[in-house]
Amino acid sequence: MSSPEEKTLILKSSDNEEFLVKESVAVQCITIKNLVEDGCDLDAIPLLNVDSKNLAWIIEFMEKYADSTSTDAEKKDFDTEFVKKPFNDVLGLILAANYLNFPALMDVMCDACANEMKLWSVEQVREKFHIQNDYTEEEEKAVRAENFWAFE
Amino acid sequence: MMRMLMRRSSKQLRPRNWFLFKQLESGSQNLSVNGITFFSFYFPQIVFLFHLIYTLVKDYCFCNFFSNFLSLTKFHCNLSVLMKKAHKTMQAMKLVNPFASLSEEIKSTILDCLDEDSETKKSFSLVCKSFHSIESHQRKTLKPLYIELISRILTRYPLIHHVDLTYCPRVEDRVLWSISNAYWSTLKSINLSRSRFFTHMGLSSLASKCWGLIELDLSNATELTDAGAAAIAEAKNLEKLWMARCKLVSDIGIGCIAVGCKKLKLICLKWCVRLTDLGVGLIATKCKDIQSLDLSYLLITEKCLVPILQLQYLKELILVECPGIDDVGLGILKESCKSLEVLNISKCHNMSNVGLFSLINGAERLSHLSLAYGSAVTDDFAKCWYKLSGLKSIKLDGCLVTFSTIKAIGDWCVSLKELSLCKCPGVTDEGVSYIAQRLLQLQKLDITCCHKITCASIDSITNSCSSLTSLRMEACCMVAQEAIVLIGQRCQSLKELDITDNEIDDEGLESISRCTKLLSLKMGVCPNITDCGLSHVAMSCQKLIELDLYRCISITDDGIAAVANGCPALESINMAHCDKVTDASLLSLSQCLQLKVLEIRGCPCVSSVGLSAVATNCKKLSILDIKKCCNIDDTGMISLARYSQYLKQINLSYCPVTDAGLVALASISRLQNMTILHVTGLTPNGVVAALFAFRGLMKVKLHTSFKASIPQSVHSVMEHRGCVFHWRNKAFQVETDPNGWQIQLPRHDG
Repeated sequence: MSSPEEKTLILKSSDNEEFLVKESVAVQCITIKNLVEDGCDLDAIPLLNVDSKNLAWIIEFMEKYADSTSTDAEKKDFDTEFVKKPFNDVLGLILAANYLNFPALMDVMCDACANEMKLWSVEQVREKFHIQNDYTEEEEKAVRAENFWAFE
Repeated sequence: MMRMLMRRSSKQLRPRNWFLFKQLESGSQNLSVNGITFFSFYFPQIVFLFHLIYTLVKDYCFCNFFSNFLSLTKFHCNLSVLMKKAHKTMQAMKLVNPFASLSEEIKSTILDCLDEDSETKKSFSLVCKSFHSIESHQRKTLKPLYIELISRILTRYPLIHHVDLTYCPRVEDRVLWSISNAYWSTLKSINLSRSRFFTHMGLSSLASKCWGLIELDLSNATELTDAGAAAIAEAKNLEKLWMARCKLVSDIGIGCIAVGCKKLKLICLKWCVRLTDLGVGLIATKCKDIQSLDLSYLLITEKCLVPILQLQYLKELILVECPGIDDVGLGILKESCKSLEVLNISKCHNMSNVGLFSLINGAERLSHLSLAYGSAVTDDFAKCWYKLSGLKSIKLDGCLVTFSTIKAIGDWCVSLKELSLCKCPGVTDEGVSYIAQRLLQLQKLDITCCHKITCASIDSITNSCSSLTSLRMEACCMVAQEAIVLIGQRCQSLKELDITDNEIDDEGLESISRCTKLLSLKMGVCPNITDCGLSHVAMSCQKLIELDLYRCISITDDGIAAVANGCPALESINMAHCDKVTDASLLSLSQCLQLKVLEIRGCPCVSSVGLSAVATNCKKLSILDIKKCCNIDDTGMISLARYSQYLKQINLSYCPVTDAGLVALASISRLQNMTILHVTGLTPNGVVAALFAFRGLMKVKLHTSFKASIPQSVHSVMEHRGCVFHWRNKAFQVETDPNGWQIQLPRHDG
């Protein structure tokens, strides 16, 4: 289906909400791009691992990045505002970006996640991620000593 | 097979499954996530199908088949319901513990963003064992601190690309052998520029086993011989090789490298004084891919330049102080290298403009030219600048520049971005104004020590060069205060400004504070600036990284407090000899968490209290100069020992530190460089004890009076570890009249 005008795709989230997106914007997600190329864009494209909240954000991001009039500085400012979300949402967006194979969003969100982690101690990381410490006391001491003395 | 399944599934489900299948096809690398999706939807159908086939084969009876079909359908529906429930639970789990659903690949990608932040990655590895494993496989760069602990690290990190041994002064062959065994398939780059005691055998194991090795830094390997060079030649894929100061390597060794390392792109042979035209010529003839060649201080002549200039990809040629290259010899060159972009012939005293033109004849892409401290720049040269109209950067430091030269540059080199006239005695207002009006794209200008320049020059520069980002005008003593105001008003894109030893007062500083993009501000020896002016800068220049207030004697704690509050990105501050500065300043500076360099030499009012505050909070502190701080004692040293684990260099000459303080410093694992002249509290026994305790020390400056009192056995041990003593014979200095230093120009600390 090749028409000269701008084609609109329908993206359906896992909770059955539909979003209209221009094809040129949506193909930044390589998963969607492949689907379109294979000709599966007749009906709504169901994205079963992405809920409507994340999909709305992703579409916002895609539209900003597809806009050729915005400069690098503007994009950077947008990114800074975009990542100011609760940490669980950041992780949710990373998963969604991974599923949709959207490299630009992946980079921005992984960077945001990394920056957040820089501020936490080991205990805080465990708390935030509900991870059980499976080191014994001696093992943990040994790793700490190794980390401190053996290399930078 | 999958398509067969698809056709047999119920029609209502088909469109959905089809999309799922396509999504799987395209996103197949995300198998872990999509796998869950696949099984949760396909599994019931697969189970049903196999069950059906099995039943048919087993029974051969229609009635049974029908009843079985019904029961199986029920089973299928139940299973379907169960799988959907499981999927929903998993989704719910993701909300509670989203990190659990991140694949190892994603966690690795997040760690990639932390590549510069080793400390955070180390914390990551302490969270749990699986994180430890992820981090172990993600890390690509290793910088060992103690060579004795390296074997544990080699097992922990199996996929290292780059090993940096600059903290290990003693690296023996067995270490290189272990590294090559551990990383034979992954190693790309290794830095041995600060290490000694390895021989050609260790190098050979590295070069021959690590087939992916492309970068090798062997600078300062002063004991490396031709056998070592032959070992390097075994690294067939080597692209970048640094061999500065390998004084014992001769033409034979370099010849081996030329023949063995055919893919070389960059080679630095600075100070390899045994090399002659033969060896260098071999490199040029055999290594056709060379892009960057550094032959500084070698006794080569124009003979080796013939093959060098025929290199097709040569971009950078550095020939600093090559006395053997002269005009007569250069006359034989027919044509230069077309691809040459960067040429540095600083200090080549036997080369004049005639020789230079033979060298650059035909080099259309030449963009960076350095003729510093040489003899090439004369009035004759001025006639020929039209050939160099494509230049972007010119360095004429220390040259006898006259108006005709400057005029020619202004006329022809219109795309010039960077110009250095540092210490050029002939530079006048006429010249600078002429050039400023024509070089509108100028970004960096260095007019340090141009003593004849006055306000008129600054007026021209600031009027015309609107894209100026860097201006260095140290010791332009004829420039009046008004000129500094003009800089602030007109050059607001300035990132670097050096107005050391100039007439400047608070009004000037207030104007300069309009340059909000300033990153580096050097205002040494400006006795008229006070806290008021400094606070203007502090409030506006929030990106400031470097601040130099050497001998700004009117600055007090208030000014420093303003800087500390306003410039959170501050990394380097010099307050040497600011005698009004007290502990309160250091307390304020402890807010600057990025602080790496602190120079407070000659500040009598600071004590251990202030130093402890800085040490506790500024964890990144790496260079500290507290010479002549007569109130910093052992307590300060103990705080440093406890908190400043990144300290690399310290100067505590003349401080009232005793043996205890010095030994405490030994627990800082990264301390490499120490100056302890005239520390009267030290005894020979104490110094010996401390020296033994330091594990990573590479350089110690001590007074010659200690030499005799340190036993020879201690000298041998230190040498064995790779530590070098520098003996100084300076007499004990009492601070004389504070203006006595003004006679020396310019100020440059060692």
